[in-house]
Amino acid sequence: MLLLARICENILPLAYCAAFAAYGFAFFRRDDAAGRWRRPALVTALVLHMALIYAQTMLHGHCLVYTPLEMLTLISFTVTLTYLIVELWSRERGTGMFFTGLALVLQTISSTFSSPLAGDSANPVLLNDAVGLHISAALIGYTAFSISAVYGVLYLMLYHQIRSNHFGTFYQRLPSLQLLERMSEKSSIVGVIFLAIAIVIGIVYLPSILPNFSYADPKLFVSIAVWGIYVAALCAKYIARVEGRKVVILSLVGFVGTIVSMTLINLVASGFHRFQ
Amino acid sequence: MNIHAIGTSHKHASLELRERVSFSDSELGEALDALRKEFASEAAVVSTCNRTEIYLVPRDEAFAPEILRAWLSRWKGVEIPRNNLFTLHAAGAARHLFQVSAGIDSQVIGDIQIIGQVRTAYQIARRHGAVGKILDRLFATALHTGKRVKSETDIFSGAVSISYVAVELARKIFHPIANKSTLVVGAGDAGELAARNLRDQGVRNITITNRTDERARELMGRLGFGTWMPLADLPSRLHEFDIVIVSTGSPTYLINYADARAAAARRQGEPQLIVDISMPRNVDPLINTIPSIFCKDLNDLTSVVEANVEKRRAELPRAEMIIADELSKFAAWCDLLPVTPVIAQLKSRGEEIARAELEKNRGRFNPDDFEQVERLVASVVRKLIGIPMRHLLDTGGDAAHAQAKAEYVRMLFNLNGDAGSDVDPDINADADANAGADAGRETGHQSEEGEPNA
Repeated sequence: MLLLARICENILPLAYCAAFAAYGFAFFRRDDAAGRWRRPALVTALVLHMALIYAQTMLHGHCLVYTPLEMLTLISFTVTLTYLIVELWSRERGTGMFFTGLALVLQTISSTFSSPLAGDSANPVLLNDAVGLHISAALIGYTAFSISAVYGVLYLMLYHQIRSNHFGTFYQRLPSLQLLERMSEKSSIVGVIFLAIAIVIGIVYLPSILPNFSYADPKLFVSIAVWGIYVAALCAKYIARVEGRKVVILSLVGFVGTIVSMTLINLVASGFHRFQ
Repeated sequence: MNIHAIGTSHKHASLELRERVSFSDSELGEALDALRKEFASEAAVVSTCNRTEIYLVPRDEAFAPEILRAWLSRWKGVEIPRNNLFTLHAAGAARHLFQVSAGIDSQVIGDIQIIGQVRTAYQIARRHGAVGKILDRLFATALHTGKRVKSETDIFSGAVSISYVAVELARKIFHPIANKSTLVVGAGDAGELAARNLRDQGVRNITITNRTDERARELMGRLGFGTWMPLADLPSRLHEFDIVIVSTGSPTYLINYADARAAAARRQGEPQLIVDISMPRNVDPLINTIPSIFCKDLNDLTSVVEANVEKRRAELPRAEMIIADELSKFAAWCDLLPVTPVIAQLKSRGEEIARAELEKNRGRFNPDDFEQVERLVASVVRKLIGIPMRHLLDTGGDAAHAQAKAEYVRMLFNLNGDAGSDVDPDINADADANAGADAGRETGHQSEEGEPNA
């Protein structure tokens, strides 16, 4: 298992790189061979990723949620899997380069800095079902926000090209503004629902499980703040009927806030949210 | 390859002359019959609004294009000056058809309609039995070339007409465009073209308004769809439409900033596209500052058209490479034409001798043994015939040399019959007999397996 985990961990960034290159060539150069190979490359990366998750889970005896690096590999996997489902469902391949790019970055960071045995000293509290549900819901929520952010960035790029009469490659290849906006919104809705579940479980169950639980935990604050921003963005869209671009910007503010604050918290703060 | 092409296009003749020499679909059958009756063994006519081109394989080797020019003048009842016609022969004719099919000979480079028009010409000629193996292969390769150019280059991408740019812009903003409500302001040609393009994209909810109601209703009559709205309602009903295309001769703004702002407020953040293709402008350019409204004028769209034309031009070398590739494959196929009847006869002769000898000796074997002997003899015959076949298929790109070799083999094996004389060069030669002469061709044509090696 250790050997399998090591092999997969080293090969995986290369597999994502190949998928990213195939989608990139197909996007920018309309390369036929790249067009044919992009989906097989993506599926190969996903299969390798599943093998890595399986091997590491077998090694540790539970899922990969010990460290931020392990969370990164899981987010990378779920982003890719979600994109593949969207691609199969919508037959829209114009955005694949961006999702494989995101997965490549996340996985490269994870593979570079983590080791297959990194989680051996994990907190046994992770074996609790409620904690597992809390972490899974948070993971899905943040993955959905990542996907929403990718669609949001693409929306803004296309919006800018149309506004400025610069009808370049992105204009030619990307799907319509309304489709990008809807995909971003739907991802945000999924994120809001799952993050809400994670927060509720955290507030209701974790105090009874974790002896050092504190309502002053910075991650709790950040999660609620991020959730609030996304809820505000969705309310702006569906209640206040604010124009799509502003909603997208607000969602992106939420995403950037998440990344920055979570990184800072993991670097400087300590609390019950550290499971190592 | 004895293929002749004669014709005229926007490059050679005025619109008046092109109109006079064009063929309607109903006229084509009769014309093809006449061509075949007089001098062609195969014929096909590509006739569009921009070109009329006749492709034929003459019955007589000494055929002169002048005969065809005279026939065309006679048939259409119009004197056609020599400099208004082009005449091409052999590879030149094939290359030209490939260029036409690839959209690079069109008035607007990358005219997507041309592939369909070439296909229609091919189908009509086939339906009238005017296409033989040479033109069949020529047109199939031309269509394949068009498809390759379409999929492997950007020559057909990006709109190059103002009205289509407007429609493409709408497609980049809205999803799905078919559900969107559209208002066409102005009943002129540009408005009509935009309405037709939108209709082609599946837009069903199209409203038309014009200064004079009568012209708006006339346009609706011509289009066969659309609903009418009085022009006076434009400010108060502007918010109802997702796409607004304005094309009138009005000297003043028909949509001003205040109206657009009020419409945007009523649309509650929903995007709106206003395209002004009028000269002078009929839409206040300040409207473009409203975040939910995309307002484009003729200047904006012209710059898109020019950029797209440039992009298409930049793709020409890639398209020419594909054409050259397909042309070389077609030429190689043509080189094999003289030898293929001989190969078919050779195979037939070998099988005939083997069959006769086997029948003669059938009584000497029990049924099980006889089957084995049959297989053995067939294998020996294939291997023996394979040796001259390999030599025949190796034309070295020299049709005359191939012809000489074919004659020699015909004489050597006493192949004087007609058996298989109209066999296509795509012989599915047995692997044993035809080692090294595998097809390798990837033209994607229907039923084109095992083409001899070029």
